[in-house]
Amino acid sequence: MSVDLLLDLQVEVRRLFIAGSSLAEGDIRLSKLLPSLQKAGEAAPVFKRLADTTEALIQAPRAESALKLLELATLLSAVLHTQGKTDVAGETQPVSSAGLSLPTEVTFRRLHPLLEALTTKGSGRLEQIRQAYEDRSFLDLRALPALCSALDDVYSEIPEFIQLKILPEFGQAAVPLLQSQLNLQGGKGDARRLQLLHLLQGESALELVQEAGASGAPELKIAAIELLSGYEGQEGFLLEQSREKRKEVREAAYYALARLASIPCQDRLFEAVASKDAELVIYPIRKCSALTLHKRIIAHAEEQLDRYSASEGKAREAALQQLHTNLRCLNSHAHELAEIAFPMLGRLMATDEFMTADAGVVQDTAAELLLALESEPSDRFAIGLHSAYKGKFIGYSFRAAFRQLSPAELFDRYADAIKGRSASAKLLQQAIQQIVHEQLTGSDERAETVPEEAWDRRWVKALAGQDLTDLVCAFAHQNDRDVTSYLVSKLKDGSRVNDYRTQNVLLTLFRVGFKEAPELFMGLLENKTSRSFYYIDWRMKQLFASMPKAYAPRLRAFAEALAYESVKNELLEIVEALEAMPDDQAGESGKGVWQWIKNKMY
Amino acid sequence: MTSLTEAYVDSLAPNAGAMKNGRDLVKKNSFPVLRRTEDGTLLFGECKGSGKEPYRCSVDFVQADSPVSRCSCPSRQFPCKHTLGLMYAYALGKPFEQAELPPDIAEKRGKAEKREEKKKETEASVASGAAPAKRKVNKSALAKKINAQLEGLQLLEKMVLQTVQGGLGSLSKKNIQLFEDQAKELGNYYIPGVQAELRELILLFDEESNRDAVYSKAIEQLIRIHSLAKRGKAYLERRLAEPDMPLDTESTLEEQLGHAWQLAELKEYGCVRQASELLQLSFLSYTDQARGEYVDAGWWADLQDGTVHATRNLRPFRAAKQLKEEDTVHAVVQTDELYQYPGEINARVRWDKGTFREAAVQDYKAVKEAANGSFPEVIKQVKNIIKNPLANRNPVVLIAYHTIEKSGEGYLFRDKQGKPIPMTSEMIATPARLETIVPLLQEEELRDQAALVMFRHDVDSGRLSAQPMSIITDSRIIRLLY
Repeated sequence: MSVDLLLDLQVEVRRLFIAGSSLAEGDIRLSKLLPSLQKAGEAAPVFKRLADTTEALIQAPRAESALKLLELATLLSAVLHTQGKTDVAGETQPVSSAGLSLPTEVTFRRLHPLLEALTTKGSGRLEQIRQAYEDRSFLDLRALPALCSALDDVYSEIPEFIQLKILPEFGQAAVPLLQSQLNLQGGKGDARRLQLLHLLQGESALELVQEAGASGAPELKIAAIELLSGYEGQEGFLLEQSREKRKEVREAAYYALARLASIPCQDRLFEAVASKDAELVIYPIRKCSALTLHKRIIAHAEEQLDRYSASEGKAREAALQQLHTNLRCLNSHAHELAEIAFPMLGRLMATDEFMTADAGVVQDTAAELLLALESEPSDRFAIGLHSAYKGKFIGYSFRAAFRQLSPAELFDRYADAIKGRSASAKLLQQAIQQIVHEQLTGSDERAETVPEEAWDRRWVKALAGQDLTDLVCAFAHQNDRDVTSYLVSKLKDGSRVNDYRTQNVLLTLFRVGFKEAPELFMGLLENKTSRSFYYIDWRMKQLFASMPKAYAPRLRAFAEALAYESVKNELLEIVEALEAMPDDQAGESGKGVWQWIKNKMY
Repeated sequence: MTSLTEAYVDSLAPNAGAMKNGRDLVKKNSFPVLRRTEDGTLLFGECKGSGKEPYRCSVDFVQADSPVSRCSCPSRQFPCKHTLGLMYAYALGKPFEQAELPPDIAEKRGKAEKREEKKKETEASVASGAAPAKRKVNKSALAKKINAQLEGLQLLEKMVLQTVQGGLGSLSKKNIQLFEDQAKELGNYYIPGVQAELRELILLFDEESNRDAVYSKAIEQLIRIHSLAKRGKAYLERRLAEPDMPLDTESTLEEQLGHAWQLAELKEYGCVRQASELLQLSFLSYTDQARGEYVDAGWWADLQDGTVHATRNLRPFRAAKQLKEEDTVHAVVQTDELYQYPGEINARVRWDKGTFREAAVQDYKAVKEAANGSFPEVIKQVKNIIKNPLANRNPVVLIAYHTIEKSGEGYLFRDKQGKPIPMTSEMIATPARLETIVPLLQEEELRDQAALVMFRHDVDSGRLSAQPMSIITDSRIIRLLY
């Protein structure tokens, strides 16, 4: 059978379909095909039918042409469908197999959403991927290619999750795809591939990592440098990279050198401290465990101090700048370096020329470092700075004293200094606030007060005297008349109940068991100006729950009148709990209800 | 029920969202009350909702193979997330306290039993000879319907002829808009199948990208519509002349015109097979824009004779939320009554009641044995089917291959005689690209195994190729779809 003839006919039929069958009447190109069709028809009946239908089309009047064309096309299409070619041109070769035995068992309803998340854009994708991780439905051969490709996703949390959590679970099975996708001239995604290959293959990926480090694109270079820092033999290469043109590469190299910490590495890092790269090298040096390097930096700092004292103008400024850099390098190992760093810092803080306005930042760095040394002599020295330089360092002095002195001593020494509006009083107040903040948020559960034994009892009144309401709230342990009357005074002048300060004061009053607290709170609630609640936080809930049972009807009346449905429901729930409380507890403060609400919230 | 597993609860869930929501309820400890009866046939409990009152939900396993879930929530999804959550809680080993059967459930069980009895009674009376009331056909109504259908076909035919006469090249946006109006109009003539074929043609032109590329497809579709109109007309005219003539159960013509076969009808025409076992080889869920529905399609091997059947669960867009999404099935389905729709290859099947059993090595072996190892034979069979313009354009066949090889253009199967079938990956969007996944497989899986493939004849290149859907080895099915 002459397939070529059929194909020629197909071309003409297609042409007429596009141009319109009305042009078929007497069509020349079709007519030209007709004789060969007829000739073939003598041998094969199919061609005879084709020839007849073609002829009918050529001769058909316009009105019938469409029908005839469709008839011809139907016949031709049927014939051509029996002539489909399945031969394969050229050489074929067996497929080289990577030999993965991963299952393909994950069902459509689980796999499809995961693949959608991996291959599309939009929100909610990370959540989907996390879920697949949780129920382990990502462990499927069909998910692997999409997971590897998603390392290039622009929403960086997705590639990060895949790199850290998902692909390591595939183990060696992920290697072939990662290898085939890896492009050393690529971007961040390829850096992740390199890291994964190193993770999965260990030392056998070293050659690849070296290649990436030597000739890869910047992202890959950085990743490679980081990986190579684990290998002793790479020192030369890393030293070389620390002089690379790109800043990011140099930074990565500095980190790597800090990790290796050999003598040549230390030399290079020390050199960098005094170079333009000073800013880049500070954090790597902080991470470096070789203290000999830090000691050199301390010695260098001493030199800078000499230079600073001895020079003027630009040179003086440069020395100050260098000193600042040197000091900042020392943070992470301050305690270990205390013995050597203290003399230098002591000298620095005792240098009058250093106490100028433009050295302010460096002074603070130095003072902070002094505290970070955490040694007794350095703390004693810091305490001594109490009133030096017009109380400039009183805050540091107080923080050191808090560590070294007894509560009573501390109070005796500093209580007077918080009075007034002077700069040093403010600094001292800030220092107290800083310590209190650490104490309140330091543990997992938020504390309401500072530890009673850590502070002298006299503080609370002293703080009240300075109108430091928040601190008073944190220091109030007992129902003391002076303190409560101070707190009550804070509630008078039109305070709004949904202001957190007001709530803090009220909570404190409830805590110390102030009898009129419920009435005060109720009064503020019923005050017309504070009617609009858009949300309620834990403070408000706790206040509600702290109310005695007797107030339940008034609270209900208040809650019912609220405009916002969700807030109303939340408050009503608390009121209901209050109403349901047994009567014998009703007299006490509502701790029981608060516990109940907490359970509901978490 | 004692063997309630998470996977089983998953299979009951109407969709992926419900699975997640049900699990989340357990995670969030939303079930303050979890109880079970002593005989273990009922799980019940309370689930916190957004309202004041908790939802009371229960799952009744009195018929172990078809649990009944009940819930006081207003959700239209069935089973709702609360009852699913209840089952997940059990499957995840949460403590259930033992309790008495609640009276309302006892009452409902009683009612269900009565219904069951009544059903048996009627069945018994049918079996005992009282012929089932044969469905009476309202002849005048039928004639009216057929006339309308014929009218619709005529309308379509006219439109097709006009289009062909004017030429596809001159189709303007306005013409296509007109087509759409007419497609809508066709909805009044009881021929939804034909309407969908026309929509498919319109959709080709909707994607205003590369006209040249759609011409070939459009011509194919025009041929198909023309043939459908012609054959449909002949068939309907015959039926109009003899109203007592049975429906055509030889070809898919009725379905293509838009008839939705009911199970009772199929039974009436004897299209039911007793005691069958089916193993799902491949699954895919896709959107059929032309028909306005989601399709959950499964391809199954009959374990007795190796025939490849298809299942199609259709979820029209507007009802999709309430309908259950089907999913991949790994187990062997056993059913007493397998309803088979008319059709030549890959006939659609359905079953009402089925039980599951774990697939075993001999099942995979049975499928492998049924695969045809002679490619020329397979190709001949496929060509014989696809030459019919109304036939399934993409037959799905089980083939046994000797090797999988690589050529300049892509992959191919070879049989023992070295005859090739080229592979394509362009017909169905797969979870992972064929070119990526084939080289990852194990060496023995690339040799002497069976594959489920879908054929396609490409009109432009004149080539016949096949897309692999699954590879079946002696020990497992490697699903390249889902």
